[in-house]
Amino acid sequence: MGSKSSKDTDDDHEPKQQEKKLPEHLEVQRTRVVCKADAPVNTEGFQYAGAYSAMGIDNSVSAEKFCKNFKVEISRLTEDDMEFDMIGIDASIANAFRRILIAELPTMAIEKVLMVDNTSVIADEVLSHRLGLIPLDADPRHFEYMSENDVPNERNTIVYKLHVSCKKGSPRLTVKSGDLEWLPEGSRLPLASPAQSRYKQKTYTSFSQSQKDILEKPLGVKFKDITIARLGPGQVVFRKEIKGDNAEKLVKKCPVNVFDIEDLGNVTIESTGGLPPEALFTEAVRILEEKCERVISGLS
Amino acid sequence: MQAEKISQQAIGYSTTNPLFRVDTHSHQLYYPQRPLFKTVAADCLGKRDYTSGSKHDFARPEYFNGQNAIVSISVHQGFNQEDSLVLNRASLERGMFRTQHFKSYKALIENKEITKRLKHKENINFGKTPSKKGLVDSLDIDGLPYIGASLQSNDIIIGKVSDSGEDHSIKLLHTEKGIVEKVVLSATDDGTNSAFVTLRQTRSPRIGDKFASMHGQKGVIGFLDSQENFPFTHQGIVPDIVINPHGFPTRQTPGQLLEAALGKGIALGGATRYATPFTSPSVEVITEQLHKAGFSRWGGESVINGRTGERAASPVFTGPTFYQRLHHMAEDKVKFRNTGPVHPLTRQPVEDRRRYGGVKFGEMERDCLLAHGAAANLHERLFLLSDVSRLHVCRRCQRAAVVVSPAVAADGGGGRKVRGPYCRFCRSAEEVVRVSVPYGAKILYQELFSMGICLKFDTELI
Repeated sequence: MGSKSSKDTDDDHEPKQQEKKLPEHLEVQRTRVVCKADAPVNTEGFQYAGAYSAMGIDNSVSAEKFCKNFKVEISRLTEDDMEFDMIGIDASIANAFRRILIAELPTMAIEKVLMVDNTSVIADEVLSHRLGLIPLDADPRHFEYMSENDVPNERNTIVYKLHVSCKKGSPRLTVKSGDLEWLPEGSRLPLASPAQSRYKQKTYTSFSQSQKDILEKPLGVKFKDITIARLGPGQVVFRKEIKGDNAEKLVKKCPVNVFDIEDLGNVTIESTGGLPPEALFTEAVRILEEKCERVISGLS
Repeated sequence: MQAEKISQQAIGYSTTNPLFRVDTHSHQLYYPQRPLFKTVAADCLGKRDYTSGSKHDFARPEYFNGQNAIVSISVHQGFNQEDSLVLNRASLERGMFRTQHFKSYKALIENKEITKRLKHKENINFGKTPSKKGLVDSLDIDGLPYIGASLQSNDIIIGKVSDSGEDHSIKLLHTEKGIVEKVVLSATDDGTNSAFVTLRQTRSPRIGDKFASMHGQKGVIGFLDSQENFPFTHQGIVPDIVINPHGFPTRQTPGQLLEAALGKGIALGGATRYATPFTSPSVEVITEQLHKAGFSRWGGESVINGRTGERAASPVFTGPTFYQRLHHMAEDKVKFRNTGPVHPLTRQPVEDRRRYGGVKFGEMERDCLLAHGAAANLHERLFLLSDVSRLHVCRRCQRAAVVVSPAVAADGGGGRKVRGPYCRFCRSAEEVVRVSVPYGAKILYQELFSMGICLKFDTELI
């Protein structure tokens, strides 16, 4: 009688003292990718919450477990790129951040080009396309998105001017992105409306105040030595070049042992625009958060 | 041989004096590139610095007619079936394979200072006049357009006016448009003044455009996908082009795979760079160079699905390959028509695209619709949109009836004709019915009737 009662007490205490765990080989299968000589194995995760229910393990995703296991280790952070590891995250979530970083983060670029005069050998469309590829040193968070019905103003538009000429007799000239001049007062190009010559000349933008008063730093191009075009007094053969001190060779190494990869997303962000890479990632997190809130509000 | 034939159709940097030529058609690639591999023949195109013993390549990229693209050989959601390709939209937006197309228009007038003008000839000059054929807003006072003007379909491109005010202007067809690149005025010794206007058009690749590698692997674009949907490697490299592996065994083109593996090794700093015919390095040399660079020996890379984040089950062959854009483009071949101009004799649609001709519907297409049992489609394609016509048939004597009948003398008309279906053989209009027949059948009946052969038509009321 006494021994029976004592045994029951021991059985009650045992679940509280320790959680049940998977066998070691199943735990390795669940959490690690092994790179063997023939091919990587265990590359697919188990999404089913009841995958290990026979062993008494709950495989569902819980916020508590995620907060306990998740961590971020930053390997490198410079002005233009950063590399970090997200440990304890599913590959699909990491891929969601990658897709947002590639496709959904706003960025500033030259979109409309008005040609006054172009006597170079490069056509208008080629020049416009090359201007559109120049990275701009502008924070898109300071600007509003311009839809088709909006009038260009100082809140949604940046104006640049490019005026370069090569005189006869002088040697060949290279037009670089540093020749782009920022116009904080707006466009100075008049609209073709001679009937309004009495009033102030209307331009393509309607800036009510200077952009210098709004923004903290001047807007310019990120790299000042990108070649846009080359001008010569005679026939010029077209050539594309990018020179600069920023042409760095980036050697990337995986900081984790590649033969034993834990659940991690190794992410490298290279910034080309006006935002540093750590700001890019926080913006991506914010966009994903907005998407989740939209889904939740849609379901309720 | 197939590769050489296709290289003739590739778009490159065609001439070194494009400002002075007025070819009717010419094409220019925005950014031609030099292939990663080299050959002795390609080396002869550029100068070499023999004095300093430098081994640097001086071949200019303008001599080549393609670009190096990161090509992945796999299936991309079924969009690259058979020979088609899937292209990366972000690569195209950055200018890959973008081309310019120039088309020149020519107009001739008589030079009156040289030639003694015949009196009966009309005096025609270049000039601007309001035209019924199209818009003249972009023309200057001399009848030639401004440089940089954007001309659309059916606009007047060169204005020609006679003294009597008649319009002889040249206008664009419904398939032509562009921006005025240059205007050239010239004269010949036999007394003719000529004007050339060149239009320029910029094209980015679209679905239906044709591409080829240097091994005869040609294909058209099946889809343009966003960059984030493509599979990516551990380094984040996303392919520019995804092609189907089914094209390789039947065409026996493993040279393209060797080219990609060799180019990959060269891009990673390898020393083996020559691919001269009959002296190419062996497979062992190429794979060893790739292996020393730290990649898989056979070119496969483990990729991650761009949509879900899962790692792909098997490695995917990825490498840089030199691809060419051919001048067979969907924009030049787009053709649609409901009804339009017909041949005056047979009343069937005319043939050419520029004349709003019909879309060819051959016997094999007819067999396809028969196999599907699509009777209404077949009826529409071969009858309603072709040469539908009407015929009046007398059901009693089974002959075709006329539409003009003489009046009966009892009516007091005295030879007056009344319009309406009338059978001359039966001398009545009671049994005349109207049937729809192809105009070809109708004209066949009339031709045989003029030779004295009369056809009979069985009719059946529905």
